[in-house]
Amino acid sequence: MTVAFWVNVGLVVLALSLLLCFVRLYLGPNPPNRTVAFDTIAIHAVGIIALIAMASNAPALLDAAVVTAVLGFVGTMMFARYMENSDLKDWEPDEE
Amino acid sequence: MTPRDIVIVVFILAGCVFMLVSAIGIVRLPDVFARMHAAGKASTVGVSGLLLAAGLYFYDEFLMLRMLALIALIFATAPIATTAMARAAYRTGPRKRKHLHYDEMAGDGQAPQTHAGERVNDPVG
Repeated sequence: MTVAFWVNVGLVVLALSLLLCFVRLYLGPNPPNRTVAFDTIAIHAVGIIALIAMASNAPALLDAAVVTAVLGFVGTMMFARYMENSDLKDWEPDEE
Repeated sequence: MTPRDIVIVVFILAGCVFMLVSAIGIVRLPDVFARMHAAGKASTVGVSGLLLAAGLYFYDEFLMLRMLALIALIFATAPIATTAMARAAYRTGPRKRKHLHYDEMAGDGQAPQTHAGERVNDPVG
């Protein structure tokens, strides 16, 4: 039960969690739901990069985590601004 | 395992469990606002646990300082992104809002007219 074992366990758990986020990205009936899924996928990418940096003993990979966090924020803000100023009013409602 | 390894493993497991719970919430919850509420768990506790574990693992104080700066960046940007998403989803979004009990933005003027505005005076909530 070394640290490397638990890092691999964490990678498996995050892979399952990322799969659930992609389920929402596929199912989400309208663009706001897909934007929520995209934001969570970007956050998952930061966590997975941190775990891979620990698994492969490469601390330089953590710079990629910084860039991914900033790009995820910019992408989410871009989608939010686009949705707010768009004229697409005939989106499907949430299913329940 | 040294005590530092135990702290690292606890941070990794806490972060991964929070992100898994958040993803389950994103799939299972009924509304876009409820899904945003679930997404906030991953973007605060989950990713900060993983980044603190990485900062402790490499045992480098400069790297740990960078991880703390990244956590501060995520804590500063996640509420901004969630607020922008919620406002966009409210103003342009779906008409059917069965789960939105309190509607504090009903007099917004820019919101589409929905039946959510009728429930704003509902004291039960």
